Order: sequence, then structure tokens, then C-alpha cells
Amino acid sequence: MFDTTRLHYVDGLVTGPIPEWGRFYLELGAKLADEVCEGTLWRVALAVPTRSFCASLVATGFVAARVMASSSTEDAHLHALRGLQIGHEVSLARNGRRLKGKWRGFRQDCLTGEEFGVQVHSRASDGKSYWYPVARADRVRIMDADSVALPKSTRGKSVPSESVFARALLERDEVTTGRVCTVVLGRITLLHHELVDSTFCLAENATCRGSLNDIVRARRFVPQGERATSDVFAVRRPKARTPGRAGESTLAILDGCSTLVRLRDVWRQKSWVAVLDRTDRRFWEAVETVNAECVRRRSDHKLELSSRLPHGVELVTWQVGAH
Amino acid sequence: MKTATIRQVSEVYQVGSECQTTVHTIADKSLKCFEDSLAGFRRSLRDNRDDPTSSELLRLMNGARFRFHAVPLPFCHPQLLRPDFMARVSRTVAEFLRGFPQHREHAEQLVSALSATLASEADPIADVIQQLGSEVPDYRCGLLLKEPAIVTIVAEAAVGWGMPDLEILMTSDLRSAECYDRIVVVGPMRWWYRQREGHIFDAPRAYEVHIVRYEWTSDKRLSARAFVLGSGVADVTGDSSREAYERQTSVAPGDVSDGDMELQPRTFWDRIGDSAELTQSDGRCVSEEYASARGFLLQGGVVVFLEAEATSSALLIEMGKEAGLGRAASRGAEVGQLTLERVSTLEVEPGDFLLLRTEGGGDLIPLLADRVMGARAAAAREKQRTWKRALCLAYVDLALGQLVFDLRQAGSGIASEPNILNWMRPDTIRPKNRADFDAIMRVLGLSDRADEFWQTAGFVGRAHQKAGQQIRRMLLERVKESSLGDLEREGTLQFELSDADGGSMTAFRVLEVALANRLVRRTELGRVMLPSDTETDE
Repeated sequence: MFDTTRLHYVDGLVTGPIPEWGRFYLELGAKLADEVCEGTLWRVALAVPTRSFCASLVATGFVAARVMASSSTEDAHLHALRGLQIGHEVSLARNGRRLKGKWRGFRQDCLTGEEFGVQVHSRASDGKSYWYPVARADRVRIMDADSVALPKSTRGKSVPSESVFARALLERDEVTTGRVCTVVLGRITLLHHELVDSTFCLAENATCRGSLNDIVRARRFVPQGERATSDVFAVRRPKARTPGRAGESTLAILDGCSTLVRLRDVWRQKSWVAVLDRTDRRFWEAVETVNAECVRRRSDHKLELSSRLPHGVELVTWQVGAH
Repeated sequence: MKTATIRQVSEVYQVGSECQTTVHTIADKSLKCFEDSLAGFRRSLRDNRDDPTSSELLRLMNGARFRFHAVPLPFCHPQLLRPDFMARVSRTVAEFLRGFPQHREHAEQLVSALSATLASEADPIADVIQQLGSEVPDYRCGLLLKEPAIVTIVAEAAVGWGMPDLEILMTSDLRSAECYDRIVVVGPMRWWYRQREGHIFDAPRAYEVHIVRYEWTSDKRLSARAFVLGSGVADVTGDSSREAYERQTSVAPGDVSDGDMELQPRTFWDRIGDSAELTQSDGRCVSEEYASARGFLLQGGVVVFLEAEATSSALLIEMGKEAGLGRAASRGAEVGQLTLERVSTLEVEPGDFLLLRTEGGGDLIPLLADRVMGARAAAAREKQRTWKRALCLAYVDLALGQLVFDLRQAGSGIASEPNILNWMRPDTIRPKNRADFDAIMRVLGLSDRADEFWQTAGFVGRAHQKAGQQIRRMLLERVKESSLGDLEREGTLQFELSDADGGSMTAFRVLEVALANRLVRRTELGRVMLPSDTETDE
């Protein structure tokens, strides 16, 4: 997990460290990233004085921890690419397609830093080379044979990197896991405000700014074709009822009492975190749902958190076996 | 729900940890006398309380009692009760005494005590509010009321108290991250706990919460703990978590002793309009005339019934939506900070803003669709009625199972009771698939006219679509000119559609959703009922 004290919020001209309550939600997300695994489903319910930023910060903590955990395997892949001969056959993931191409090696760019290049052959690209920052090396897959003949082309294109803010905060070149690992279900307006519109900066550099979505990378909020590590579904939309659309995600964050009441059964095959706002009209209905399930499925396994619960927040955790 | 910044959210957590609650008890002789008389009258009724006249009399008295406890206005204020209130009391008492002359003494004593209270100029609640306001004039103060109908009157009264900046709040105002220095709550805490709105005290939005209630009103604070096996919130009552949970999900002991004198108003759905409780055996009653409907209590105390089928939908106004988000936005319905969304009726929740037709009668879409169809409208509607009427007759004449069987035999793959009921409804156009439609025609003996009916239904459907687009455009034009702040503050806002047909639509905040569906005349669906139908105390 990244050092949460380095994350500051920006509110107009004011900046300040993420308060204790915010760091708790980040830590909870990170803890879940460690705990959630195949075969065991976690259930976490939070009763909070306001739902604002709770789901967003849990998602941020979860994704950040997953990104940092996956970086070691990414390093090995990059090492393999560095040893690759120019012209070796590779494939490149681009806009949802995998294109055959040839390895062009690495180069230094004054703006984006080190880049790697792949010359691809397709009807549309016609031998164009794409230059990506090294952080996106997972787009390249090394092929076994060297048999692709490509036309000569002098054309090339630089592809922008992921957020500088996210890379600096996580202290990683690679800030995606390459797959969707969590889904937040709630009201899009509110989540958009928290993930995209709210600005954050680094404690040591207030000019290095970004949003939580630079880390969370919700598919709904990143440009088309960009890699996503999470997704956001509107609770009232059919997508929210089709967990299959969430791909390989392992954690569903149910933002709001209505979300829990409506969708907990639909998402029962994933671990979930329910954020229950005490001011919500369906709060007690949701609490009864949680209590009934928690008592029925009572287990000795609790999520151990090092930081203290913020004032006014109540937490209950339990485990169920995956079916 | 409003968006919030990290700083605002931090204040919510800070307020929660520093909040202090103070109870101010007040008294008034004439009101106490009235309440004692009411208690004596109730006791004297014993087994006669369920009689319609006695219960109506008790309902009126309890309504007055609730207002005395909930409204910071002098007892003699003309707007505290309805202008015809005393006339209604006199009529009801006279009728009551015809049936129960033995209770004359108690009834007369009760009416006399009520008259004395209504003649009093005392305003003990406002006295406390004024005193609290004068202590710290620079504080941001809010006044939380349980009765939504008198917000404007109290706001005017606040100017007279020398507190023009006093913000009159409803419970829904305390759901955002906005915080106050001080909130004065009028009425006992159990009013809010009973309606599961204990967040006023458990997740407060003010550094100081002052509760003003009459000294003889029983009250106590309940545990804030939610989860039986949870951790984190200290239990103010010292109960174990399980005990606390049971206390919260049952009636608090303090309420029982006072149960007959319950102050809290509730909605009696069975007294509103021409509706009846829907039971499972009513399946066949859902027909052209009746529909299964859900009741919604709206801001201003009005109610509306909307059809509660899975396919039924309602138009919601979503506040604070950003441009480019959501399905509504993708359909071009977004206007600045507002979008319109059509959602299933079953999904409408308290706090949503429901957009309803309030003038001009009926649903606007068929009206506009008729305009779109022009001279062909009458003939097209008649053709639609022809086959739907025939289907209704077949539904009545045949056993349901037989009709389903016949339709399936005739080629319909989806014939079932809900679908047949859906096809029968006058506001639906036609089945989606031609095979189902042909099956209906075959069973009804109308195969020779199947093409004609199918094409007509398609024509009507297209006209409805155009009408829907037209109404959305008109509405958005009006919404652009309207103050959405008013909608959020008042909980209701009218949008005139005078260009279309002289009618209007009104956005209402949903306050309560009836738990059970009811059988309601189709003519009453979507009709906003008057407050007189909902004067509801027990």
C-alpha cells in the first residue's frame, strides 16, 4: 500500500492531508486486496455518517494495493523485452484487438521518458509503429516464431502515458493491473464527482495533481480504448444485475443501502463491501439484511485492521465459502 | 443527494464526534388540560374505540394534538389547523353523541378543553427557539420540523421572532454533508426514531442539537448501534449489541405506555381514494378497470398511486447530475445540473423527485399522441379498443388456463397471465412480436383483420414515441427557466406546460412509499390526491 499521508486533497485554493477517516477507508481497501482470494468470499458492511468518498476511497485502496502487488511480475516481463532482438515477432494489444507486429526496441523521449515500439501490420495501420511508455509493456506479448513480413513505413505515433500523479503516488511506472479487479455499484453522479471531479495532489508536490480515478481507472470514466482496472455501474441499470460484465473482478463495492438491498444476491459470488449511510432512508432495512446474514453465516474470521475506526463508523465483517 | 468535498465530509465526522444534545422541556396549562381530557375520553370509550364515529373523532383530536406539539406557532394561530376544523369536530361530536349518548360528559369536556387551547395565545415552543436564537446570533441555526405542510408559515414567523436567517429544515435536509452550528428539533426524539430517521441524533449535522418537547411526553434516546456483531459505535444505553438491535427493531418501552396517545402521524392508504388492499386472490381483479398500484406520499402531504407492474415506469428528476453521464444524458435529456430519468415504478424511493401531471387530467402522452395522429387518431384508437375489448371478454369468459393454452396453441411463445393482463391494458400498444399478436387474433377470431390491427398499433406506437419526445422537450424548456434550488428547498416545483394544452407538471419529493400494493381504479392512477384525503392521525 502507498503511504497514505502523501495523498492530499485540493479544495479550491486549500490543500490538506487526507483526514484520518479517509485513510481508514484506503487501508480497508488495501487490506481487502490482500485478503480477497479464490475460494473465500469476504463480506464487509460499514455504517457511516455519510457515504461520501467512502466507496471511492475503499476502491482506491483496493486497486492501489493490487497494482503494487502485481508490479513484480510486470518487472520480469519488462526484463524479457529488454533482451528481445529488434524485429522479433510480438503481438500488441490495442483498442481491444491483438495485432501482430515486430519489436522496434526502446527509445528515450524528452517528454514521456523511455518508450518501447512495435510496428504492427493491419489494414488500418499499414505498418505504422506505435511507441508506448515502458509502463505499458504488458500490452506486448512475445511470439515464438519470427515470420511476419511488414511493409516498410516511416510513420509512427506516441501513445500517452498513464497519469504522472498516479505513478508518483504509487511510486511505480506501471499503474494498472491489466484487468478489472473491482466494481463499484452506486449513483454515477456521486461517484463521478468523487473519482473524477475531486482533485488530489502529492504532499511533497502540490502541483502534481490528479484524481482518484487516475488510480482506480474505472472503465466508465477513462477514454475508450484505455486500460481499466475497475468499473462503475449505475445501480438502476441492467449492467448492475449482470456480474458477468464485471469480468475478473473479485470485489464489488455496494455504495448505498438501496444498492445492498437490491443487488447483494446478484453479486453473491464476489466478495463485497457495503457502504450504508446512516442518513439513508433504507438504512435500517439494509442493516437488518446485514444482521440477518451475518448472524446466519457467523464465522470466526474477522478482518483485522490496524487503524482505529473513525468516530460514528461501525464495521462488521464475516467470511463465506465460495460456491 | 448532493455531492460533497473532502472538507465538508471531514466536518461531518468532526460534528459527529463533538455533537452535544440538550433537551428542553416545556409546559402549557391549557394544552395539558386538553390532553388530560383526551386521555379521559379515550379511557371512557373502552371497547367503542373501533366504532367509525369514535375513531374519526379521535383522529381529529389527535391531529390537533400533533399540531400543538409539532408546530412553533401560537395555539390560536389561524393556520395551525384547517379553517373548517372546529366545524368538522362539532359535526363529528354530534354524530358520535347520537350513537353514544352515555359519553356526553367526556366529549363535551374534551371539546371545551380543545376550544380553550385554541383560544390561547401561548407559544411555548417558539419561546424556547427565540431564547436559543438570542444566545448566539452569529450561529448558523436550523429548525427541524416534523410537519412539512407548515414550513412556509414558520419561515414567516421566524422573521417575527427576529431570526430571519433561521433555516427551516425537514429531515431530508439533514442527509447531505452540510453542517450547522445549532439545530433545534421540535418534538420528541421518538418521532424520528419511529420513522427510522434516528440519524438526526446518531449521525448529526450540527455541533449542538436542542430538542424541544412538552414535559409530559415520554421520550428516550435509542442506541445508535446498527450491527449485532459489529464494532465501532459506543452504545449510549449500555446494552449489548443484540439487545440494542432488538430494541431498535421493536417498539421502544417508552412508547407502549403512551401507545394509545401516539403523536406521530401516519398515512392511512386505505382511506385515500377508491383503493383496496391487494391480496393474492385479487389477481383476476387486475383488469381494464383496476390495477395493482403503489402509493406514494409526496411533499406537501399529497399522495399518488402509480401502477406497480414490473413494466410500469415513472419520470424522475435527478438533481445535480453532471453533463454527459447516464442514460438520460445520452438521450439528450441533460440540462446543466438536471436530468430526467424514466425508471421502474418499483424503483422509486423516498427522496426521489417524481414528476407528475397535476393539471389537464390524465396522462399527457396519449393527448399529444392524438395530436400527432391528427384526424386518424379516433379511428386508430377505436381499432385498438376493438381487439383489446375482445381480449378482455375472452379473459372473462374463458378460464385463464384455457386462454393461455389457446394462445400457446395458436403460436404465442410468451402467453402467460401477466402478459395477457399487460396486453389487455388500454395504455399498452401491442405485443412486441408479430407471432404473439397473430396468436391473439387467431384466438379472438380476428385473423382476417390481423394486418390492419398490427399496422394501426404500429402507427399508434410511433405517435406515442413522438409525443414522448415532444413532452420531454417542452418540459426541459420549462425546467431551464425554473429555479432548481426551489425544488430542493421546497420539495415541490410546478412546471407549466401552457403551450401544449394548458396543463402543468409538478415535481414532488417522495416522502414515503407504501409497503403494500393496493388495488386502485385505473382512473385514479397518477392522480395527485388532495391533502384532505390524507389527514391521518390516530
